[in-house]
Amino acid sequence: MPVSEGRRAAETGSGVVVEERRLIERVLAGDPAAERALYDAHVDRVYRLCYRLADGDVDLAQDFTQETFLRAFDRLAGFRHASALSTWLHAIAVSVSLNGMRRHRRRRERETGLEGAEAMQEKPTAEPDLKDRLKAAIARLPEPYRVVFVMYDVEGYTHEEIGQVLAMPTGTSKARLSRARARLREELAAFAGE
Amino acid sequence: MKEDNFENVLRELVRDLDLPPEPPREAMWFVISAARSPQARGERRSVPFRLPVWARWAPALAAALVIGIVLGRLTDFPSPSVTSPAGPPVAETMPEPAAENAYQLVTMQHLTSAEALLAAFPVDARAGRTGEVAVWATDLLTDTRLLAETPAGEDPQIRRLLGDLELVLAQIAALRDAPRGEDVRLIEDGMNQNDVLVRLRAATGNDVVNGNLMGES
Repeated sequence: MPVSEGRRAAETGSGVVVEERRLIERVLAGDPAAERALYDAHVDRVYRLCYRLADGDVDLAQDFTQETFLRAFDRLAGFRHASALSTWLHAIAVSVSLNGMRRHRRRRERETGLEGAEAMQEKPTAEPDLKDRLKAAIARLPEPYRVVFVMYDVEGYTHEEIGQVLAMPTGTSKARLSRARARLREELAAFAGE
Repeated sequence: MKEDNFENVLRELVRDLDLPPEPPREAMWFVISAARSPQARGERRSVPFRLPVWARWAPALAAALVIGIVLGRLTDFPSPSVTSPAGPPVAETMPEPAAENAYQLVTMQHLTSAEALLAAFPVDARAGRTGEVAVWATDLLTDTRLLAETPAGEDPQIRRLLGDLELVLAQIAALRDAPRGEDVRLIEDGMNQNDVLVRLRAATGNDVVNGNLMGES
Protein backbone atom coordinates (compact mmCIF):
# COMPACT_ATOMS: atom_id res chain seq x y z
CA MET A 1 0.00 0.00 0.00
CA PRO A 2 1.38 3.45 -0.84
CA VAL A 3 2.19 5.50 2.21
CA SER A 4 2.49 9.11 3.18
CA GLU A 5 6.20 9.48 2.61
CA GLY A 6 6.99 6.39 0.64
CA ARG A 7 9.46 3.82 1.63
CA ARG A 8 12.68 5.39 2.69
CA ALA A 9 15.98 4.41 1.29
CA ALA A 10 18.13 2.30 3.51
CA GLU A 11 20.66 4.42 5.32
CA THR A 12 23.42 1.91 5.49
CA GLY A 13 25.64 3.40 2.83
CA SER A 14 29.26 3.28 3.92
CA GLY A 15 29.61 7.07 3.95
CA VAL A 16 26.60 7.49 6.16
CA VAL A 17 27.80 4.80 8.52
CA VAL A 18 31.22 6.40 8.85
CA GLU A 19 29.69 9.80 9.50
CA GLU A 20 27.35 8.29 12.04
CA ARG A 21 30.18 6.55 13.85
CA ARG A 22 32.17 9.78 13.99
CA LEU A 23 29.18 11.67 15.32
CA ILE A 24 28.60 9.08 18.02
CA GLU A 25 32.29 9.17 18.98
CA ARG A 26 32.08 12.93 19.36
CA VAL A 27 28.96 12.65 21.48
CA LEU A 28 30.62 10.08 23.70
CA ALA A 29 33.66 12.36 23.98
CA GLY A 30 31.41 15.05 25.40
CA ASP A 31 30.95 17.34 22.42
CA PRO A 32 27.70 19.29 22.98
CA ALA A 33 27.57 20.31 19.32
CA ALA A 34 27.62 16.65 18.33
CA GLU A 35 24.75 15.92 20.70
CA ARG A 36 22.75 18.65 19.10
CA ALA A 37 23.67 17.43 15.63
CA LEU A 38 22.53 13.92 16.46
CA TYR A 39 19.30 15.31 17.86
CA ASP A 40 18.70 17.48 14.81
CA ALA A 41 19.33 14.59 12.47
CA HIS A 42 16.72 12.34 14.04
CA VAL A 43 14.24 14.43 15.97
CA ASP A 44 11.70 14.91 13.20
CA ARG A 45 11.29 11.24 12.44
CA VAL A 46 11.28 10.24 16.10
CA TYR A 47 8.67 12.89 16.83
CA ARG A 48 6.45 11.68 13.98
CA LEU A 49 6.58 8.13 15.26
CA CYS A 50 5.85 9.22 18.82
CA TYR A 51 3.00 11.41 17.60
CA ARG A 52 1.36 8.53 15.76
CA LEU A 53 1.80 6.12 18.64
CA ALA A 54 0.39 8.77 21.00
CA ASP A 55 -2.77 8.82 18.88
CA GLY A 56 -2.07 12.37 17.80
CA ASP A 57 -1.63 13.87 21.25
CA VAL A 58 1.01 16.57 20.80
CA ASP A 59 1.86 16.85 24.49
CA LEU A 60 2.43 13.15 24.83
CA ALA A 61 4.41 13.12 21.61
CA GLN A 62 6.67 15.84 23.00
CA ASP A 63 7.17 13.97 26.26
CA PHE A 64 7.90 10.70 24.49
CA THR A 65 10.37 12.34 22.12
CA GLN A 66 12.25 13.99 24.95
CA GLU A 67 12.37 10.76 26.89
CA THR A 68 13.58 8.88 23.82
CA PHE A 69 16.56 11.17 23.40
CA LEU A 70 17.35 11.27 27.10
CA ARG A 71 17.39 7.51 27.13
CA ALA A 72 19.41 7.35 23.92
CA PHE A 73 22.11 9.75 25.14
CA ASP A 74 22.22 7.89 28.40
CA ARG A 75 22.88 4.58 26.68
CA LEU A 76 24.77 5.61 23.60
CA ALA A 77 27.94 4.04 24.93
CA GLY A 78 26.17 0.69 24.69
CA PHE A 79 25.20 1.14 21.06
CA ARG A 80 27.08 -1.56 19.16
CA HIS A 81 26.31 -0.52 15.57
CA ALA A 82 24.45 -3.79 15.02
CA SER A 83 21.83 -1.70 13.28
CA ALA A 84 21.52 1.84 11.99
CA LEU A 85 21.38 4.46 14.70
CA SER A 86 17.93 5.44 13.49
CA THR A 87 16.68 1.88 13.99
CA TRP A 88 18.06 1.87 17.51
CA LEU A 89 16.48 5.25 18.23
CA HIS A 90 13.14 4.18 16.81
CA ALA A 91 13.19 1.03 18.92
CA ILE A 92 13.60 3.23 21.97
CA ALA A 93 10.87 5.57 20.73
CA VAL A 94 8.44 2.68 20.29
CA SER A 95 9.25 1.34 23.72
CA VAL A 96 8.91 4.73 25.38
CA SER A 97 5.70 5.53 23.53
CA LEU A 98 3.97 2.23 24.22
CA ASN A 99 4.85 2.33 27.88
CA GLY A 100 3.88 5.97 28.06
CA MET A 101 0.53 5.24 26.44
CA ARG A 102 -0.14 2.42 28.89
CA ARG A 103 0.51 4.80 31.76
CA HIS A 104 -1.64 7.45 30.11
CA ARG A 105 -4.54 5.05 29.62
CA ARG A 106 -4.36 3.84 33.19
CA ARG A 107 -4.46 7.41 34.41
CA ARG A 108 -7.34 8.23 32.08
CA GLU A 109 -9.27 5.18 33.23
CA ARG A 110 -8.89 6.24 36.83
CA GLU A 111 -10.13 9.70 35.97
CA THR A 112 -12.97 8.30 33.91
CA GLY A 113 -13.94 6.14 36.83
CA LEU A 114 -14.34 9.24 38.92
CA GLU A 115 -16.07 11.31 36.31
CA GLY A 116 -17.89 8.53 34.52
CA ALA A 117 -21.30 9.47 35.77
CA GLU A 118 -20.98 13.00 34.46
CA ALA A 119 -19.60 11.85 31.15
CA MET A 120 -22.50 9.45 30.66
CA GLN A 121 -24.91 12.34 30.83
CA GLU A 122 -23.14 14.41 28.22
CA LYS A 123 -24.85 14.71 24.90
CA PRO A 124 -23.22 12.81 22.09
CA THR A 125 -21.25 14.91 19.67
CA ALA A 126 -21.95 15.06 15.98
CA GLU A 127 -21.67 11.81 14.06
CA PRO A 128 -18.01 11.28 13.31
CA ASP A 129 -16.96 10.98 9.71
CA LEU A 130 -15.05 8.09 8.24
CA LYS A 131 -11.66 9.63 9.01
CA ASP A 132 -12.57 10.08 12.65
CA ARG A 133 -13.81 6.52 12.77
CA LEU A 134 -10.57 5.30 11.28
CA LYS A 135 -8.54 7.19 13.89
CA ALA A 136 -10.67 5.74 16.65
CA ALA A 137 -10.44 2.26 15.14
CA ILE A 138 -6.65 2.50 14.89
CA ALA A 139 -6.48 3.58 18.52
CA ARG A 140 -8.56 0.54 19.49
CA LEU A 141 -6.39 -1.95 17.65
CA PRO A 142 -4.48 -4.37 19.85
CA GLU A 143 -1.07 -2.87 20.50
CA PRO A 144 1.00 -5.29 18.37
CA TYR A 145 -1.26 -4.68 15.38
CA ARG A 146 -1.50 -0.95 15.94
CA VAL A 147 2.27 -0.46 16.01
CA VAL A 148 2.82 -2.34 12.78
CA PHE A 149 -0.12 -0.64 11.04
CA VAL A 150 1.05 2.82 12.09
CA MET A 151 4.65 2.14 11.11
CA TYR A 152 3.87 0.51 7.77
CA ASP A 153 0.69 2.05 6.45
CA VAL A 154 0.91 5.48 8.04
CA GLU A 155 4.60 6.22 8.46
CA GLY A 156 6.07 4.25 5.60
CA TYR A 157 8.50 1.90 7.27
CA THR A 158 9.34 -1.29 5.41
CA HIS A 159 8.62 -4.68 6.93
CA GLU A 160 12.36 -5.15 7.23
CA GLU A 161 12.69 -1.94 9.23
CA ILE A 162 9.74 -2.85 11.41
CA GLY A 163 11.24 -6.26 11.99
CA GLN A 164 14.48 -4.65 13.15
CA VAL A 165 12.83 -2.06 15.35
CA LEU A 166 10.42 -4.51 16.97
CA ALA A 167 12.86 -7.42 16.93
CA MET A 168 10.67 -9.85 15.06
CA PRO A 169 10.75 -11.66 11.74
CA THR A 170 9.56 -9.85 8.66
CA GLY A 171 6.82 -12.43 8.23
CA THR A 172 5.41 -11.56 11.64
CA SER A 173 5.26 -7.92 10.66
CA LYS A 174 3.35 -8.82 7.51
CA ALA A 175 0.97 -11.07 9.39
CA ARG A 176 0.24 -8.42 11.99
CA LEU A 177 -0.38 -5.83 9.30
CA SER A 178 -2.81 -8.16 7.61
CA ARG A 179 -4.68 -8.74 10.86
CA ALA A 180 -4.70 -5.04 11.63
CA ARG A 181 -6.25 -4.27 8.26
CA ALA A 182 -8.80 -7.05 8.73
CA ARG A 183 -9.85 -5.59 12.06
CA LEU A 184 -10.14 -2.13 10.60
CA ARG A 185 -12.16 -3.52 7.75
CA GLU A 186 -14.61 -5.09 10.17
CA GLU A 187 -14.91 -1.89 12.16
CA LEU A 188 -15.31 0.38 9.18
CA ALA A 189 -17.21 -1.88 6.82
CA ALA A 190 -20.70 -0.85 7.82
CA PHE A 191 -19.93 2.83 7.77
CA ALA A 192 -17.89 2.75 4.57
CA GLY A 193 -20.55 0.80 2.78
CA GLU A 194 -23.18 3.43 3.35
CA MET B 1 -17.31 -4.21 1.24
CA LYS B 2 -14.98 -6.05 -1.10
CA GLU B 3 -11.37 -6.31 -0.08
CA ASP B 4 -10.13 -4.27 -3.02
CA ASN B 5 -12.60 -1.52 -2.27
CA PHE B 6 -11.59 -1.49 1.35
CA GLU B 7 -7.91 -1.26 0.40
CA ASN B 8 -8.72 1.79 -1.69
CA VAL B 9 -10.78 3.40 1.03
CA LEU B 10 -8.12 2.71 3.63
CA ARG B 11 -5.42 4.08 1.37
CA GLU B 12 -7.31 7.34 0.92
CA LEU B 13 -8.15 7.61 4.58
CA VAL B 14 -4.58 7.08 5.68
CA ARG B 15 -3.47 9.72 3.21
CA ASP B 16 -5.96 12.14 4.75
CA LEU B 17 -4.95 11.51 8.33
CA ASP B 18 -3.82 14.62 10.10
CA LEU B 19 -0.20 15.40 9.46
CA PRO B 20 1.88 15.68 12.59
CA PRO B 21 2.52 19.29 13.54
CA GLU B 22 5.96 20.80 13.29
CA PRO B 23 8.04 19.31 16.10
CA PRO B 24 8.77 21.81 18.89
CA ARG B 25 12.46 21.17 18.41
CA GLU B 26 13.88 23.97 20.53
CA ALA B 27 11.50 23.42 23.42
CA MET B 28 12.27 19.72 23.48
CA TRP B 29 16.01 20.31 23.28
CA PHE B 30 15.71 22.81 26.09
CA VAL B 31 14.21 20.14 28.34
CA ILE B 32 16.63 17.43 27.22
CA SER B 33 19.65 19.64 27.89
CA ALA B 34 18.36 20.61 31.29
CA ALA B 35 17.56 17.05 32.26
CA ARG B 36 21.09 16.00 31.35
CA SER B 37 22.73 18.71 33.41
CA PRO B 38 24.59 17.71 36.58
CA GLN B 39 22.00 19.61 38.58
CA ALA B 40 19.25 17.39 37.25
CA ARG B 41 21.05 14.48 38.84
CA GLY B 42 20.17 15.82 42.20
CA GLU B 43 22.91 18.22 43.09
CA ARG B 44 21.70 20.84 45.52
CA ARG B 45 21.38 24.36 44.27
CA SER B 46 23.90 26.54 46.03
CA VAL B 47 22.64 29.11 48.46
CA PRO B 48 22.36 32.44 46.67
CA PHE B 49 24.46 35.29 47.86
CA ARG B 50 24.68 38.92 46.98
CA LEU B 51 27.31 39.78 44.44
CA PRO B 52 28.90 43.14 43.77
CA VAL B 53 26.73 45.21 41.52
CA TRP B 54 29.03 44.89 38.56
CA ALA B 55 28.99 41.11 38.75
CA ARG B 56 25.42 40.56 39.77
CA TRP B 57 24.15 39.60 36.37
CA ALA B 58 27.20 37.61 35.32
CA PRO B 59 26.21 34.42 37.16
CA ALA B 60 22.73 34.86 35.80
CA LEU B 61 24.22 34.82 32.33
CA ALA B 62 26.11 31.65 33.13
CA ALA B 63 23.04 30.02 34.61
CA ALA B 64 20.91 30.76 31.61
CA LEU B 65 23.55 29.54 29.25
CA VAL B 66 23.35 26.38 31.26
CA ILE B 67 19.70 26.15 30.36
CA GLY B 68 20.25 26.60 26.68
CA ILE B 69 23.19 24.31 26.09
CA VAL B 70 24.19 20.88 27.10
CA LEU B 71 25.76 21.10 30.51
CA GLY B 72 26.60 17.68 31.54
CA ARG B 73 27.55 14.41 30.18
CA LEU B 74 25.96 12.20 32.70
CA THR B 75 22.45 11.52 33.76
CA ASP B 76 21.36 9.33 36.56
CA PHE B 77 17.85 8.30 35.76
CA PRO B 78 17.29 4.97 37.42
CA SER B 79 16.06 2.89 34.55
CA PRO B 80 17.12 -0.41 33.10
CA SER B 81 19.21 -0.48 29.99
CA VAL B 82 18.26 -1.26 26.44
CA THR B 83 20.40 -4.27 25.96
CA SER B 84 19.97 -4.69 22.27
CA PRO B 85 19.52 -2.06 19.62
CA ALA B 86 16.97 -4.21 17.96
CA GLY B 87 15.59 -5.61 21.16
CA PRO B 88 11.89 -5.79 21.78
CA PRO B 89 10.18 -2.92 23.51
CA VAL B 90 10.54 -3.49 27.18
CA ALA B 91 9.02 -1.93 30.23
CA GLU B 92 11.33 0.98 30.73
CA THR B 93 10.50 4.60 31.11
CA MET B 94 12.11 7.49 32.81
CA PRO B 95 10.35 7.81 36.14
CA GLU B 96 7.84 10.64 36.03
CA PRO B 97 9.31 12.33 39.09
CA ALA B 98 12.64 12.61 37.29
CA ALA B 99 11.03 14.43 34.38
CA GLU B 100 9.11 16.67 36.75
CA ASN B 101 12.31 17.42 38.65
CA ALA B 102 13.99 18.39 35.41
CA TYR B 103 11.26 20.91 34.65
CA GLN B 104 11.34 22.24 38.19
CA LEU B 105 15.08 22.53 38.13
CA VAL B 106 15.24 24.40 34.88
CA THR B 107 12.43 26.68 36.02
CA MET B 108 14.26 27.52 39.22
CA GLN B 109 17.50 28.11 37.34
CA HIS B 110 15.75 30.43 34.99
CA LEU B 111 13.84 32.36 37.62
CA THR B 112 17.01 32.75 39.69
CA SER B 113 18.76 34.19 36.65
CA ALA B 114 15.88 36.54 35.99
CA GLU B 115 15.79 37.63 39.60
CA ALA B 116 19.49 38.46 39.53
CA LEU B 117 19.06 40.47 36.37
CA LEU B 118 16.06 42.44 37.58
CA ALA B 119 17.67 43.12 40.95
CA ALA B 120 20.73 44.55 39.26
CA PHE B 121 18.84 46.35 36.54
CA PRO B 122 18.17 49.74 38.23
CA VAL B 123 21.81 50.22 39.19
CA ASP B 124 23.21 48.91 35.94
CA ALA B 125 20.84 51.00 33.88
CA ARG B 126 21.75 54.20 35.69
CA ALA B 127 25.42 53.34 35.37
CA GLY B 128 25.00 53.26 31.61
CA ARG B 129 25.28 49.50 31.23
CA THR B 130 21.94 49.15 29.49
CA GLY B 131 23.49 47.58 26.42
CA GLU B 132 24.90 44.65 28.36
CA VAL B 133 21.75 44.17 30.37
CA ALA B 134 19.63 44.36 27.23
CA VAL B 135 21.66 41.62 25.56
CA TRP B 136 21.26 39.42 28.56
CA ALA B 137 17.54 40.19 28.79
CA THR B 138 17.16 39.12 25.18
CA ASP B 139 18.59 35.70 25.99
CA LEU B 140 16.42 35.36 29.06
CA LEU B 141 13.41 36.39 27.03
CA THR B 142 13.92 33.47 24.66
CA ASP B 143 14.20 31.04 27.55
CA THR B 144 11.13 32.53 29.20
CA ARG B 145 9.05 31.90 26.11
CA LEU B 146 10.39 28.38 25.76
CA LEU B 147 9.67 27.59 29.39
CA ALA B 148 6.10 28.80 29.04
CA GLU B 149 5.57 26.12 26.39
CA THR B 150 6.86 23.29 28.56
CA PRO B 151 4.95 21.52 31.34
CA ALA B 152 6.56 24.00 33.73
CA GLY B 153 4.23 26.59 32.24
CA GLU B 154 1.18 24.55 33.16
CA ASP B 155 1.37 25.73 36.74
CA PRO B 156 -0.96 28.77 36.78
CA GLN B 157 1.25 30.82 39.11
CA ILE B 158 4.42 30.07 37.20
CA ARG B 159 2.65 30.78 33.94
CA ARG B 160 1.47 34.18 35.15
CA LEU B 161 4.92 34.96 36.49
CA LEU B 162 6.54 33.97 33.20
CA GLY B 163 4.03 36.12 31.35
CA ASP B 164 4.81 39.19 33.47
CA LEU B 165 8.51 38.44 33.31
CA GLU B 166 8.32 38.23 29.54
CA LEU B 167 6.88 41.74 29.34
CA VAL B 168 9.58 43.21 31.57
CA LEU B 169 12.36 41.41 29.74
CA ALA B 170 11.01 42.53 26.39
CA GLN B 171 11.12 46.12 27.61
CA ILE B 172 14.67 45.75 28.91
CA ALA B 173 15.76 44.02 25.72
CA ALA B 174 14.43 46.99 23.76
CA LEU B 175 16.80 49.30 25.63
CA ARG B 176 19.58 48.09 23.39
CA ASP B 177 18.38 50.39 20.66
CA ALA B 178 17.85 53.76 22.30
CA PRO B 179 18.06 53.76 26.08
CA ARG B 180 16.48 56.74 27.78
CA GLY B 181 16.10 57.56 31.44
CA GLU B 182 12.37 57.65 31.05
CA ASP B 183 12.35 54.10 29.66
CA VAL B 184 14.25 52.82 32.65
CA ARG B 185 11.79 54.49 35.01
CA LEU B 186 8.81 53.02 33.16
CA ILE B 187 10.30 49.56 33.35
CA GLU B 188 10.90 49.94 37.07
CA ASP B 189 7.31 51.12 37.52
CA GLY B 190 6.06 48.09 35.62
CA MET B 191 8.17 45.77 37.73
CA ASN B 192 6.84 47.33 40.92
CA GLN B 193 3.22 47.32 39.83
CA ASN B 194 3.30 43.61 39.09
CA ASP B 195 5.63 42.79 41.98
CA VAL B 196 7.67 40.83 39.49
CA LEU B 197 10.86 40.90 41.54
CA VAL B 198 9.03 40.04 44.76
CA ARG B 199 7.28 37.12 43.08
CA LEU B 200 10.53 35.92 41.55
CA ARG B 201 12.15 35.92 44.98
CA ALA B 202 9.20 34.10 46.45
CA ALA B 203 9.33 31.51 43.69
CA THR B 204 13.05 30.93 44.06
CA GLY B 205 13.12 31.05 47.85
CA ASN B 206 15.06 34.29 47.91
CA ASP B 207 12.26 36.27 49.51
CA VAL B 208 12.30 38.23 52.75
CA VAL B 209 12.43 35.01 54.73
CA ASN B 210 15.91 34.55 53.35
CA GLY B 211 16.67 38.23 53.47
CA ASN B 212 19.75 37.77 55.59
CA LEU B 213 21.25 35.47 53.08
CA MET B 214 20.70 38.13 50.47
CA GLY B 215 22.08 40.92 52.60
CA GLU B 216 18.66 42.55 52.74
CA SER B 217 17.79 42.31 56.40
